[in-house]
Amino acid sequence: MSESGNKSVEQLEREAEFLKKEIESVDEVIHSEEKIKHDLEKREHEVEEEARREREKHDHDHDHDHHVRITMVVNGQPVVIEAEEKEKLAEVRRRALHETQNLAQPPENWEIKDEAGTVLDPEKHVGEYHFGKEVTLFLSLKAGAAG
Amino acid sequence: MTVPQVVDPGVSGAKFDREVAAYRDLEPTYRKRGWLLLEAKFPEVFVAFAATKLKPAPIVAAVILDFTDYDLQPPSVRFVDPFTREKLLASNVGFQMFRRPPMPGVPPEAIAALMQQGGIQLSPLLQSNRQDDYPFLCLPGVREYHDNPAHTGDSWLLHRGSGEGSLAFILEKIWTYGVMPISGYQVQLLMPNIPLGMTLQGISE
Repeated sequence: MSESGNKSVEQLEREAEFLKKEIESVDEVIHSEEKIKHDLEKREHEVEEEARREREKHDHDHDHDHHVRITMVVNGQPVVIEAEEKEKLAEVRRRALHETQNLAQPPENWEIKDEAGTVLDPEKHVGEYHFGKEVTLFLSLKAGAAG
Repeated sequence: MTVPQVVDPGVSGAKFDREVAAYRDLEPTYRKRGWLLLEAKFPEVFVAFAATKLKPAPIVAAVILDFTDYDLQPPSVRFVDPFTREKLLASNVGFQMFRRPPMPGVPPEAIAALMQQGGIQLSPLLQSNRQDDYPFLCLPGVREYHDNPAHTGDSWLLHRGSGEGSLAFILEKIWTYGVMPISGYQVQLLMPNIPLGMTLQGISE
């Protein structure tokens, strides 16, 4: 004998109707939860995207912190070189000579000087001189070097 | 004596203008060094040099660079009176330029000490044949150097295009070897009687 063996048809129909409503209610909850889940996933994606952008921006700023804009005056002609602090001045000199096509003399014949005329060591790194973000340096051909 | 221009004046003039324009671009920087461009009119550039380390800063030299026939010929450099533009003789130029031999690896302090003891032979860059002659800059890239009989084997054409002989190059060398080393006034007093200074509070009754 079944559990519902002593229930009337009407009772069974009401019970079925009740269960149907319960199922609908549960479906609504599931639907609502799924919407919340979807919204959370969307928000998670947005936050991840924002974090990526912030990380890129930070890395970019960080890179700029280690860059120095050097206006190198080669025999009176200025050229701008974006140098890294870890770069040697000799490398900056080589790039400046190449960009201005001053290739008739070897780089060693060009002295690197600051505005006050102090000779800088080409073997030192850009960062060791603490130039800040911008500086003007001079490449000066040694006197009589070609003689 | 004025040398006649043999190069097309338009060519020399254009190269002269390029040199002067490059100077003008950096003029504020050069002025801080004490370089004063007083006049630039083809073929001459007139520049005075002040020794900025001294206060008050005196004008210690003035030069006229002549770009006639530039750059088939390098510029001629003459030291002149900064106020009258008259060419100065060696006896009254009142300005010296010295160069020491290269000493790689020796610290600047040691070099200075050696120089003080006379242990380093300095070469004069501003030379003259006689005291009543005009001094000349003994430097490749300067016309008087290449025209000198002692340098017939060192033609300007071997140097042209190397960077030497430009306005910036020549001015920088005059500044480096002549002006930058000037660090103080040297005063000699010739007085038979020197009054002594007294503090009034120190006078006893």
